[in-house]
Amino acid sequence: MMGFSRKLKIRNYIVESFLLLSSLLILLPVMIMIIGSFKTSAEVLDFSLKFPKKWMFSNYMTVFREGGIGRAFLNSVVITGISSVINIVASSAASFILARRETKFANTLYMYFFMGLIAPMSTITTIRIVQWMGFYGSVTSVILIYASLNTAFSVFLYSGFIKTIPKALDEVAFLEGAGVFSVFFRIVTPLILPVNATVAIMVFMSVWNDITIPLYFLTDSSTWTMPLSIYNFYGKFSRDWNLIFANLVLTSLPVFILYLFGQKYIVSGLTAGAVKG
Amino acid sequence: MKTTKQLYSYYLVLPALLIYSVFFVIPAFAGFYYSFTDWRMDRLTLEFIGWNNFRTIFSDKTLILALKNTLIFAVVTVLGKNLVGIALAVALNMKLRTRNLLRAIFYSPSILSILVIGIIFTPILRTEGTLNHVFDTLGLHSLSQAWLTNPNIVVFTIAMISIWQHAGFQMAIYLAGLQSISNEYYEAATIDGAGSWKKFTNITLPLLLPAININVMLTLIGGLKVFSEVFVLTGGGPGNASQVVGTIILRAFGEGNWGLGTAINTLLFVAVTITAIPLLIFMRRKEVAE
Amino acid sequence: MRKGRKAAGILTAGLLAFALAACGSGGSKSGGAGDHSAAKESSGKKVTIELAISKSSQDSAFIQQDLLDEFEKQTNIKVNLQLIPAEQTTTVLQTKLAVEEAPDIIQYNLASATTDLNLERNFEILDDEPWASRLLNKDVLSAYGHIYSFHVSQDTGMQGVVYNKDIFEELGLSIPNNYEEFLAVCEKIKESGTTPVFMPYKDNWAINIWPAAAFADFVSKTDPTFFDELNNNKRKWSDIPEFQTFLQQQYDIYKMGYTNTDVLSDSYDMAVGKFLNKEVAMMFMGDWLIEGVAQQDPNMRLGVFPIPAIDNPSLGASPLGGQLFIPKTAKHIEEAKKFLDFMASKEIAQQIVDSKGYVSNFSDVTTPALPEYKQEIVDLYITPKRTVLTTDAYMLVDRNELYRMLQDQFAGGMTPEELLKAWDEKFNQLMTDKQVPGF
Repeated sequence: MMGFSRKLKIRNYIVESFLLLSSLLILLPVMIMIIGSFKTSAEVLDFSLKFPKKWMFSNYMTVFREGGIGRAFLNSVVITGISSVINIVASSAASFILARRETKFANTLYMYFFMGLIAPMSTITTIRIVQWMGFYGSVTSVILIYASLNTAFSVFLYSGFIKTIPKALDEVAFLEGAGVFSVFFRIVTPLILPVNATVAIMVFMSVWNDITIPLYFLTDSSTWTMPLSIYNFYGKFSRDWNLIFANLVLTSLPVFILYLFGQKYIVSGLTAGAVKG
Repeated sequence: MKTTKQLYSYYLVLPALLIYSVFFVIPAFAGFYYSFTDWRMDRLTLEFIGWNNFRTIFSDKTLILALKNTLIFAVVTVLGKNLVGIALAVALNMKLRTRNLLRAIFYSPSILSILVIGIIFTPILRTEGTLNHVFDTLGLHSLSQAWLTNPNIVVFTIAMISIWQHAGFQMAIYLAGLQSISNEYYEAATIDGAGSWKKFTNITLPLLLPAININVMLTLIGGLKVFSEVFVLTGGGPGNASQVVGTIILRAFGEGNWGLGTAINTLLFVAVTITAIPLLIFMRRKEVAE
Repeated sequence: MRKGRKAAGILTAGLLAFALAACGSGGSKSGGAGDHSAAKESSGKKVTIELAISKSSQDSAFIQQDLLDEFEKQTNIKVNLQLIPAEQTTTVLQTKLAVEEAPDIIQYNLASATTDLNLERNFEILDDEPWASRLLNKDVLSAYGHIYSFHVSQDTGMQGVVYNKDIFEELGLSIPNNYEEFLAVCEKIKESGTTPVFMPYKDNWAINIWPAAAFADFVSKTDPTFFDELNNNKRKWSDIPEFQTFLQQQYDIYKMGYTNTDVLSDSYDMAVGKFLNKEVAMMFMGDWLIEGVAQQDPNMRLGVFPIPAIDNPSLGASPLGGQLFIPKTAKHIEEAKKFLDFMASKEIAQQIVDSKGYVSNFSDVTTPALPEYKQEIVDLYITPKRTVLTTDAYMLVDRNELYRMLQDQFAGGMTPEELLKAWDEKFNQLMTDKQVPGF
């Protein structure tokens, strides 16, 4: 028995060192960016892992001052935050019903939502609709578009997850006379927290990182989001890779922080949502 | 009991249905209509021209190349992301000391914006770039390649970058799948004297099937709809060597040929539907069977 | 306990980032408010207009921050810049024009605007603007008999071989007058340890400089009706065997090792740096590159000579670019016109013309003493009439596919013969789509 567990230990060491080694494949390109963001504009051009002679923290100050990052950051927070919340509430509510009613109609609706994973977005006709509704160019339109673009994947995850929650709980509540809204918000919502975290991170990421919607739908560039500020910045400083890298780091940081917080939920959310669904 | 079913009121579906239909479905279907017209940027009127745009698609050499590239990209990334994803998940499901750190590291590229990927990898993959420099220092000159400028390998390079970025996401779903497999199966197999490989093929793989199914479907859809990776790394070049369906749509729009652009969009939709829906139906049927 | 502290650490970091950002935006907001109150004293309510410009035109004279600030102070109109990623500029602008949500002002090249953006349908005619009567050369701003665009310069760009004079003098080289002499010059420069020619052909439009000048130069001397017949569908690109030669020449320069090794990875934005560091001696480009280098280091002595594809070549002239346009559907046409008035005013136009070294297009704005290289162009090429309009001036269609084919030639995917055949086919299709008579 001792021999077996030792063998297991050795195997784990081998696997672990192999994984640590291959994690360099992921880390090194990212490190080039991070280290590069602290170099001078001449030093950075070798795109290597050499440490800078002097750590130029001032690069970040420059990016803040010149890049309009503060404004873009707030735009991103508002747009991403609100569209994620709308998406989460609407999709989880819809999935709750679709998962519980196991009728043909509910199934068809599910497929209707699923189609959103496949169908390509059509920019010009979407603009037409938004114009017709009278709020083209507004932040509101972009928020709603993002909420709708991510509906398919969210419904997909929620439906799978909600099916794993026993019906008995809500049936008891119904018998006690509760309405569907209070059952959903008071009983189901607390139970789907892990998948909420998963969906939140997924939607947040896809909206935060998007680079096309604001270009077409926001007429006032002072409402543009952070990744687009990289474009503007890239334009102004196309020869200063150190500043570009600093901007990239700043843009990636918020999603990374969110990821660190939600990390433990991602796997458990996916377990029920995607795998069992 | 019949009444409780009705208690699940469709009112709760309405908000999602409304937002999704108005801002996505209706525009998308309106777009399909235009694929049967000669809609152009420089003309005021548009005419219904039947299947003409689709005929154009299949007579244009670049479009056929783009279709071929898209298929190559889809196949390579489906295989790559899933094989790497399973391997990582199995390894990171073991009791390793740095397990959480490693999971975070492997997952992290998938949260990066594609713009970041484009900007980081351009200098790395230049012919005189960091990667070839590393190969040369290690004495592996034969591995040096014109990664993004050799028409014969550029699609594979882009596929590799995509695997680099997303295999960690697939890993997370596979991890989820692995964690839902009860330990009892493995214990029983150990008592029967099964080796690791045997356990993997006899227990892990079959029970991982739902996760495999989802991952194959998601990566397939993503692979066929590929756009941004190509856009930020090569823009479809050199020449048209790395054009995919997604970028060719942009090209058609750029030439003012909007009818043709939407037609390619429609074709892409049909193609993805034909490949993804059977997978989905298969998946849902299995569920019912369980 | 430890875990809790870690989480707290991350949280504080997050809050800090948030606070920093809030500070930044708070600052700008209060600045805006300050402007607003100041503005109230001068005139009515503040209007913001949008100016869209491709990020590759970021050096434009019209978007210098001090000018925009001055404009805002005088008129209480704020100008918001939209820098659009270069690859998407055309598509984004086309879309916004189609759905009638265009920005108030667009900077674009007049020649491309006629092919890409449907000038007649989409843009205001500016014939009656106050500045129009002061123009010296209306042609560079006009199409279809009307002024559609605005610029303070009438300086058409010159395209040829941009070269470092100091390197030429040090090595005792003179300007090559034909292809053989050019190769000899390359050889000498290469021997001295400098890269003779920089080819940033990741940006595929840059590959077209050589053929655009060579083709036009050749047919203007031997076959002057060629482009008219081409645009009537009576001739084809592949009809002229010499075109193949010119395409082969450029490729051979690369194959003979006279260029940077990684031509398809290097991009145009690296060019200025390459010249500043004296890593390269020559490049096939427009004279705007010289201006860009001079801005970084006024002591660099660069010049331009004709593309040496044939004997005694002429210098390529491209149509004026970087004009401002006002879309018909702009929300603030009046304010946009005020912006043009401001840029056209004597003082501001003079300021721009002086700082950029432009040839003035206004009767009351004096052209400054020309920089050395420009004076040389005037003396050596313009006055003796040794210039020729490049093919760009004759092409009515989107040229991006041609650029891609040229790039494909460098990737080894096409011979010059195949390229011209393929371009004939695409050209025909694009002309047919445009419903040009004869196609």
